[in-house]
Amino acid sequence: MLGQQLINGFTIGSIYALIALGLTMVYGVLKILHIAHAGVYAMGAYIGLWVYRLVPNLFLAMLAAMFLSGVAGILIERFLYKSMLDKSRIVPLIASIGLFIAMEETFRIIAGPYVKAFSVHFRQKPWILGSARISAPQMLVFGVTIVLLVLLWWVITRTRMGKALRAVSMDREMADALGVATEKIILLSFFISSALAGAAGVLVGVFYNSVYPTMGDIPAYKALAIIVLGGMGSIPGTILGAFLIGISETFLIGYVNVPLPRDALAFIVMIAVLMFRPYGLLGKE
Amino acid sequence: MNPLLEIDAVSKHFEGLKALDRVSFSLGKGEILGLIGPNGAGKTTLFNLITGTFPPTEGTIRYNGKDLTGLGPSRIAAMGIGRTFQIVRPFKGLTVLENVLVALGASRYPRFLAAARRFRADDSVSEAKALLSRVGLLKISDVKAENLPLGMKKRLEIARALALHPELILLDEPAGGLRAEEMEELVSLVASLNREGMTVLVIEHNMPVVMELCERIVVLDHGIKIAEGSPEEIRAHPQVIEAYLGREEDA
Amino acid sequence: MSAYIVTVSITIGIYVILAISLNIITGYAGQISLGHAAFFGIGAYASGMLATRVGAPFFVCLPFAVVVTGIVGAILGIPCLRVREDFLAITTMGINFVVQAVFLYVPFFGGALGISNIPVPSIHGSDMTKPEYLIMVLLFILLSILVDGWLTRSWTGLALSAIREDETAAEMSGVNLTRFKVIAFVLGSAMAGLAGSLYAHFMSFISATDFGFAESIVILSMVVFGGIGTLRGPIIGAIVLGVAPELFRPILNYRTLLYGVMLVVLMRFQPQGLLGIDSFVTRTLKRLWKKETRGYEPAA
Repeated sequence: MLGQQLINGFTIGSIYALIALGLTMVYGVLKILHIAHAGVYAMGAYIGLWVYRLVPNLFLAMLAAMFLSGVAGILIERFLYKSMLDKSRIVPLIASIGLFIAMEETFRIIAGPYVKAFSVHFRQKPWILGSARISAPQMLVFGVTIVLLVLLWWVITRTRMGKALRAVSMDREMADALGVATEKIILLSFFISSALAGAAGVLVGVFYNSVYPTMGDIPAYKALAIIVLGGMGSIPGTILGAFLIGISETFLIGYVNVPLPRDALAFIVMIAVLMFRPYGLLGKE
Repeated sequence: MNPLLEIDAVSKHFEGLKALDRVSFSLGKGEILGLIGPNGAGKTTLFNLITGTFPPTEGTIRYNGKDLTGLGPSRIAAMGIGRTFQIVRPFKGLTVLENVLVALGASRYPRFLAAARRFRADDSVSEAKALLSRVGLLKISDVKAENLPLGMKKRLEIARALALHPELILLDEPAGGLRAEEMEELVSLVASLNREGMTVLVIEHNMPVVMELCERIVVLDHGIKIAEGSPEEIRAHPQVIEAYLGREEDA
Repeated sequence: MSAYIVTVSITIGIYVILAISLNIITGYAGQISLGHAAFFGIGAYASGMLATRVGAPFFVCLPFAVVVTGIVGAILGIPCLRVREDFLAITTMGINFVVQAVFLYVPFFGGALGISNIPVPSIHGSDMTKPEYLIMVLLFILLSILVDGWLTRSWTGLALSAIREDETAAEMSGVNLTRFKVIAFVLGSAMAGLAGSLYAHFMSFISATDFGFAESIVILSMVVFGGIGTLRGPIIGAIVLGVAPELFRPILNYRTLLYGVMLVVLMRFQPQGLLGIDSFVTRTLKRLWKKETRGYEPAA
């Protein structure tokens, strides 16, 4: 039972991590709360589904979703956020919310308001790990998340691009002064983070076998709670926060009969942590 | 004569890093004291301790004989310690006059009902205008602070600090980034304030300015006080010379 | 006036009060709140529950709601003092979710059924008609405007603008952050509680879903759309964004899309809001009237 809960918690947690990581990267470089990130995530799910229906190859669908989501991220930065960086914080926030609403509505108008099935044929027999069972879709979520996280870790810590990215998120002006191509790095981080969101969209679509216009609603705010919990802009903090929330949600439902919805839990944990660490778990002042 | 400000064995550690290590000195009423040292010596940290941004790790700071430990910045400001910032921070969206009025309110805020009164009452406005004319900004009192050139922003910060009716003002690199004539204006303003009895503690990188203004100088290096004395003594002090010459390129 | 117009006007009027109240917290004091609907809801529940459970008359319920919401605003304002800027925005958003969850899951608050049969206020022994209700809402708008006008001219208002501009410099200028932020939260929340009470007795049925995060965003959009930090901005924003869905009714399928696009376009090209300081419309109007308004504007 415990092992099973952990596995389920990790599954949810890894999806949260993929979404929240992008958000935290964007926050790192631009200090913007990118609510529309959840719109990109839903877009990824739709693109994945569309491609999969044309060519039933999940790998291809995933790649297409990641690439097009990444491009969408770049466009959002270019045409929206770029002009708002010197404005009050609330300006990009409202713009982002407006964009998120517009994206959801666009999905609804184009693809209809109903839940679309994203059915992929998996082997039915689960893998057995001690007393716990890992289903094929769970395996997929784990596998893809681990590959993407390792890839991201490699890019950030091992490449020059990653070094520049860290410099920009530490202090944009300083990086600018040191001759880092800030502009390019910002676009790059939007591409990477949006591609991660697109991948998460496909994974969630397949995992729950459903894609629908408002599927970004809950991730939109839960991912925010997670990145705040982790300490805005901190990548390890975000991963920690994502798994913490994923696992505590699963345990809350599995064991305790608390009369609170699971979606409020993330915020209760977040507020509690902020009272002791106003800059999040791994955040710096 | 009792000192106005006493820094008594004050230390400040940040995550194991000693930003200040048992620094002591005091400042008499009406004195003007220079605080110098290479970058990262802990000068601004000391200002932040005095104004209550954070508490010292060890040691005490006394103002008029009263221990400042644990008092918040707004309390300390209202007790009569005004300050300016290394990187100027006027209230950008407010007018020059309003900037000064904010600090003038410090004597009004404590009484709850008074805080509900109109802030543009005649007595307040005329007092604020007097302060602005003192620093030479009266003519532009309705301009938004963000539109001022740096030199004027620095003088505005001084007027705002003066609105607290302070006995002591802390100036963090008042001459930094200024053109020659702006600098001269500022130096003469500070000197005249001091002549009128204002106690001044000033951080400054520009040595000629420090030497001209200050009667006494304290030198910090890596959080430690390495020298204290008159400008002549400091100029001849071997450790000071080493601290500066040793790292001239990054100062 | 048709009943439809009266009903829409009352709803918009309630939004006007909400926008004015949020503007105190976010516009004047600069504390971004993404959870204002929580206070709207607390006011509505306080008023509705006092009326249905105790049978108190409306003119007792309304001040009760204002006081309760003000107190809760002070209490919930405390965690908000620990965090700044974006952390604050997300904290307030979290408060919204938690408050909503409490309404939804604690039986005392009626659970998913909410509070129903909230009585219509009565005057001279008979129920208030809708036009009468509208007049009452307008009077409360007037009251909110007076409170706002008093605030912006007071030392408190000036202290709030100082906090908005630069918290550190404000502290060093003798402004006690805790005290003035709490004042802003209490005033803004209490006024939202007033709106909540008006809403509860107008709708006669309320439930947790009316006071979610989406509602907070609607209110914030109104403030920003009209021009944050001014008094006229939130009022105009509430009217425009309140009327827009009604005007878009013929193109029902696209109206939410248009709403989103409107927000994006305005923020992209006119980030100070429609009637904000130095916005295109404001400058044009000023030029047309050739009259420099010399009155004080807190964010000017």
